[in-house]
Amino acid sequence: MATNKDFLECSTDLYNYYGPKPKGDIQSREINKTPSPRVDKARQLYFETKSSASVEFPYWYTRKWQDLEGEVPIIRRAEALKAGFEHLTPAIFPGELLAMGKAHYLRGSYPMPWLSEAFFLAQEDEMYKEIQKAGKVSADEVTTMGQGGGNVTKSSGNVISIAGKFGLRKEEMPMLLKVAKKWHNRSVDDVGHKYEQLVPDYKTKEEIMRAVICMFDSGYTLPQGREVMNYFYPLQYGIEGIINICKEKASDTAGYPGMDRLYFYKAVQTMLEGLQTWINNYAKEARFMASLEETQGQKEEYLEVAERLEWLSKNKARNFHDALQLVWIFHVAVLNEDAISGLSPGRLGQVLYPYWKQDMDNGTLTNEKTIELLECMRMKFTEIDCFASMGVVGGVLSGNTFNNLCVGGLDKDGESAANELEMLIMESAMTCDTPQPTLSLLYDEKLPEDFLLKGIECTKIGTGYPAWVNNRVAMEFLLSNFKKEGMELEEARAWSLGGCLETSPSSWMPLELNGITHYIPGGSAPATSVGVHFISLPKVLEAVLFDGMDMRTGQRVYPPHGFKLDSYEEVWEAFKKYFSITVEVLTLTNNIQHDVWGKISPSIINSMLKPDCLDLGKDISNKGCRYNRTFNVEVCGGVNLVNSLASIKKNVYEENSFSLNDLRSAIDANFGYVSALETGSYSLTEQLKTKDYKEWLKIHKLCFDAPKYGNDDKYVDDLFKEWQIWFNKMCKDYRSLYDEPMYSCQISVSTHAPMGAVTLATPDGRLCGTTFADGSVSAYPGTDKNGPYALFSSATCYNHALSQNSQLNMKIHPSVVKGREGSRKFLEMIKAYLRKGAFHAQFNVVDSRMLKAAQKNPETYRGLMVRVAGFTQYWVELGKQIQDEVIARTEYEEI
Amino acid sequence: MTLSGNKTSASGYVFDIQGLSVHDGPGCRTLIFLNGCTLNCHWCSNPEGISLQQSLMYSPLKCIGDGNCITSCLHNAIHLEKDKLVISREICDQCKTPTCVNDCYTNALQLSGYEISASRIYEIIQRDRQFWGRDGGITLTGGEPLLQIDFAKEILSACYDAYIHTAIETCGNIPWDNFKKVLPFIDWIFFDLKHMNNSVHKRGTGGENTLILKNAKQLSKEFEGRLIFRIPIIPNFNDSQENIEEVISFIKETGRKEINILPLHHLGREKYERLNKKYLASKYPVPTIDQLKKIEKVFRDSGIDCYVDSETPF
Repeated sequence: MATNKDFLECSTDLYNYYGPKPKGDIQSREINKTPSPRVDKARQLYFETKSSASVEFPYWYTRKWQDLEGEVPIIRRAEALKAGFEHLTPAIFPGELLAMGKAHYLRGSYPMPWLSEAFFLAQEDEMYKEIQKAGKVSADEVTTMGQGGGNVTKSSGNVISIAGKFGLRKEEMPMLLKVAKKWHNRSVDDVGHKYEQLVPDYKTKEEIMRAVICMFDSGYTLPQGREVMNYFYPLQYGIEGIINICKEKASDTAGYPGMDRLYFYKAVQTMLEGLQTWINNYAKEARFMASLEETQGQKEEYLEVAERLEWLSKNKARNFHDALQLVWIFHVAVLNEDAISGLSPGRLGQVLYPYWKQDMDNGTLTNEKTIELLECMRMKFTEIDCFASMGVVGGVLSGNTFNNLCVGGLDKDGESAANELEMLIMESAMTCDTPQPTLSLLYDEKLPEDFLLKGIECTKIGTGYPAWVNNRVAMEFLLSNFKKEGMELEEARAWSLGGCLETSPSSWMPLELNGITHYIPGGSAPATSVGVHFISLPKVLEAVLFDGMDMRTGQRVYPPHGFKLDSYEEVWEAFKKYFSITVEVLTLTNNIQHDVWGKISPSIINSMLKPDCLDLGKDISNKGCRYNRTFNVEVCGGVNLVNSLASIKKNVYEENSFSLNDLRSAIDANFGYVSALETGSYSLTEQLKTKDYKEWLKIHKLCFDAPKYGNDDKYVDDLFKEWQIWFNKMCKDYRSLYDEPMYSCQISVSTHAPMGAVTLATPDGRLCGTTFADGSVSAYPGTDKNGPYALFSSATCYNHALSQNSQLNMKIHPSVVKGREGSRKFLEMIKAYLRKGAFHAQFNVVDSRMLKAAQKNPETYRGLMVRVAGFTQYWVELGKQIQDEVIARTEYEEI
Repeated sequence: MTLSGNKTSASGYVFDIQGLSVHDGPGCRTLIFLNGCTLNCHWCSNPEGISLQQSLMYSPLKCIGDGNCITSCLHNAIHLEKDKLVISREICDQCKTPTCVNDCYTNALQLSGYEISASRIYEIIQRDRQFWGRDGGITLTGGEPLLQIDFAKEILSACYDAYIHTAIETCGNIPWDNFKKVLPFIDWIFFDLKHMNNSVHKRGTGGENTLILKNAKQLSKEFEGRLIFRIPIIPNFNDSQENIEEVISFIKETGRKEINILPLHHLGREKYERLNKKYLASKYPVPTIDQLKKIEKVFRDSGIDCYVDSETPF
């Protein structure tokens, strides 16, 4: 009794869904697992903890910075950072096997006014006005954060809410403002801004930012991140060992030309000494806690923590537990050094494997103990908060920090790199299904089937991870992009994802343990996603239709394009013209910001970790990394752009169903609907009609019925391909700060919500203010009516290796993949899609009614996690725009 | 790649083509729903597929009463009566110019079923084939897939030649000749048995079971592939001990040994409204899991491999 489902959709919905409304009761997930008792408690504690900010680090940093006026900049920076680290109050939490964190709160973080102070001073009104003129705050105005979870959304009692997310103790506020004021006109933001204005077309840049055609500047918001950590040096040498290297190198370079090397080695040494104090402060705290503790087991655990930290403050890791702690120390150290999101541990299971194998072989470790430790590690990564402005934290990241851990892929010799520890990593991601670290599986035909099915099992618990990523496509991208810098096939295999989906060049490093050399993978490039941040493609098309005006604000953004628009080709040419203007000016201004960042706030610890900075004596901003062609152009809303172009081409120019002026009027009238910004509902399914809506029904139907991407319809897929080929090529025409060509990056993260919010109705029938299609190859919700295979076919109509990534999100109802047979079929489906050359797919295995119920009763669903545009997050911490969009996303169900 | 060099392709009516189907044969499959059926079962979940052609579907909830369809219709088949749209189905069923659908801006009127050539279907199958993964194939269903026999044969033979796994899901109530034409190109058959008693069968399905049972026996002899019987479990209609036992002895007689029992569902109910048809299956309750397990046990105790719902091992 196969059921045809095309006509089963609920008639009250405005648009048809693919598939029927799910039947019966809400289906719970097929697999439910629980963490070890220790971690279960830690998780409860986490749930009850709010994001909290402190001013300790910025206070000491700023104080030291002022003391050292006139010092060599990189030394001044190192000393300031050292002072910050040394003055962080340590906190050890009961039951934790891995210690240390960003600040003394469980979910602690702190602002970095040396990057940008405007955000704190915004509340002091005059500066606010000045800043608004520069168009920097409008992104904040249009972003809403999730209202629940650990976000401190409102000030109350002694806690002040910052950016709708972080709580700060009232008494620390004056100090924060005082410190922030010290950075006025001195921060990367302010200094960069001064020089940006020298770019001839600067005025256009301001208008672009004000219209939210581009979401964010790059240099002072999140200057680092979207990159893969490299843990080789601390593991191979220990902290004392690296200090000794620095001392030797310093004496080798002192007095010789290229003296910047001397300062760099000195800066690294200074910072490492700061880290030693920081680590020992935690050890002292652990000993203090032990002295207070009466419970036997706990007392010993504190002492073990203290002993481990004391050892690691100087020496190399002795075992798996040591190695995991050392990795975590350096992870936090880098996070504390800069405003960072997307700092990925990379292929951690392969980095730690030699230690794990050693312990398993000598009988000091078991699978159960490993899982417990990995669960503790998951809690640590989940506790990471990123302190950035509201627009960045809510609009781009949805509060997520993107610490992507990758499993699978190939080893140095081209064989499967999957190992038993990675199986346990996936297992611990099921038992402790917290959002971080999120997992990605680097799929290759060489990976063993049981490993892949473990990945399926993990995907099926509905956490959204692992993302399934195509190893060979990434290698092709890397080899073509980094060939000029000498990348060989062998090294391409070391790659991993930095941030949510940014393919990042990495290297094999020779780790020696017990007399054997193990080649471990680790990142060898700076941030791979800096440059031009998120251009809203539908908004650029809007400007084309309205001859350069932003219709939301009534401001002119671009000069008139000068096209009559009497053919489709003219529309396309005008679009390319405006898009090119945008990329050009943003490239130049962001290059300036990054240059200023490198001068005022260079990375020291992260530079030390990345090959070949330590060998060359150069930090990241001086091209010390092995690979430096990592600036990119990010876009968002590509599918809405292409659907809109198809509608215009067909309706206006081929079938003459209506004129471009009719279309402008319809867009202006929002096709007869009330704007989403008034209704507060951001998906197409729940929109209110105005009383004049009948006037616009016909044109709306024609727009909506025009060919849509995702249906294997050549008409629109050809336009998609044309856009992809042109875009991927044009990025190379622009030069990054490091004088290298740029490349394209196509992830939406969460920008499709706030960018949709400021965009009028679009010619594809999408309504004003509603969220764009997510990812880069996901269909617009409700428009992929020919099933997943047609969507796969559309998605692979161009070569994904042209770009740093592509992104497909699908919501799968649990019933499709039920049982053992369902698992096998799920894997077959994913394999088939990747074999066609797709780069990425990820899945929400979740019943949409569960999500709706969760929207109504967030507290009942505190632990519910969904996959949104490249990452995993707790449902209650998502903004409503994204929640609406996930609910509306096409759900594939088979009955 | 086209179907075959110079032969003109047959065309027929289908009302859906659906990928990623996982319950009607091995692997992830593409299901093709062909129009037309010789039965008219009360519980049919695809009533729009019973007609051999297109059906006009009308959703009152989406209708805003703008009357566009009334002025658009060339055959004077749509009227307003007391603010309600009345559709003259006898005219619409013959309609070759359904302009009303294009002029309905709210999609309250839609067509189910469309004409398509076998070669176009084969193209879609070729596309989907890339995504099935291991196993996979096509299943022709409907309606009764073997009613448009030349169309069905062309699809099945092309797939068979291309090493694609083929299955059909049939009600069995068609001339033996139709089976004979396609048997060489079929790997699997799902064969529906609704009731063993002829008069009860007729009451629930509008057709006799004589031909069905005869075909079942013949198929069991002549068809070399896997034959799985299927029974929709309709409480108070065919779930009696007596009927189940008769099914058991019939299956034993055929020499086959597999049956898949499928619980009744009412998911198709809304389609009846949209076709202005009366839904006659409301009186049947949905079977409970216990009821299904009990029936499964009866079959299993008699040595027949019985699978409940989607549990058929492929």
